[in-house]
Amino acid sequence: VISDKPKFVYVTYVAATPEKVWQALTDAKASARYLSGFNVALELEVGGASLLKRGQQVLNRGEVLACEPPRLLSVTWRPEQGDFSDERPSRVTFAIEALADNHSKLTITHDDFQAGSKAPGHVGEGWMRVASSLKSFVETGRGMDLFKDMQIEGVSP
Amino acid sequence: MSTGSDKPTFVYVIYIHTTPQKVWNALIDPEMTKDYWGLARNRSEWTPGSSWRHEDYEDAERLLVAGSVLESDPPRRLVLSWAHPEDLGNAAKTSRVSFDIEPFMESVRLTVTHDQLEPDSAMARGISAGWPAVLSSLKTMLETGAALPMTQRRWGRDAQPQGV
Repeated sequence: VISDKPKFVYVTYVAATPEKVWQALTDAKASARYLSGFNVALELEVGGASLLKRGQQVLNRGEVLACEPPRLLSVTWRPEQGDFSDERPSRVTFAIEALADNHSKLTITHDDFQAGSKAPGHVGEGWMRVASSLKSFVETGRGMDLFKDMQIEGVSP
Repeated sequence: MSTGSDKPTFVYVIYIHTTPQKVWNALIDPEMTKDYWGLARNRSEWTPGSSWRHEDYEDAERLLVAGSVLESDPPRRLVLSWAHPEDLGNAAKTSRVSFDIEPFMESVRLTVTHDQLEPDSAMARGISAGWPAVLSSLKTMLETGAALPMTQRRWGRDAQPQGV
């Protein structure tokens, strides 16, 4: 069935095991090293909190929908401020597949937006930066500094 | 893959910790493309109007993709027409690839836009799977010195890289 519901999908290949990619995605301290000032705060169980924070400030407050280390993490996505904060939560899924040579395929999918939402056209830029910086971090130990110009509101990574 | 217009467009953006010149060089240097682009070389004079060939690194007779250089502005922008060799001259089966290389926060933002694709074609499916692998490997090579092993192997013309 062909669906015309908006969906953002980004695939990247990483020279690291799924376990290393999972750790970078889900660990607060690790995430701070490639999100330049932001970090995730996750309760790794279904129903647990999924926060994106800057310091003590919560920028995005979601809930864990699926958690299967190190292969699948799915969370709801709702910015605390900005254009999209009044919409019902959307969904972000990180799928990590093991490949040969101890490498991984990371697929980031952002979908299940509120009907008519303008968010689908705005979230992609942030995810492409997240994926690029995460890949640098797990491959070289050094993340990129790509988020200085990102707004705090709905489109923040 | 956007299907908003009649002809699909594939867009992929990747940020690389390097310089625009190094990205440009990597697109045209066979010693680099063979490692991140499926054991292939790109051959051209890289001037507007010249032809270009994407051929097997070890067997130049094995031509994979060909076309002409539509724009060349080193190290900022390269635009190529893109077709299987047997489709050269067939406008319906000729697509276009634009590489835009921009400095961005002490790194590089590389945008690959592959448009004017034939809807539901093997080419459209192939490039949608291929570009993420090729560009991920390009980033790894420029940042670590070694490309991903999966792109150092030869792969089928429309097939995905092995292991993908």
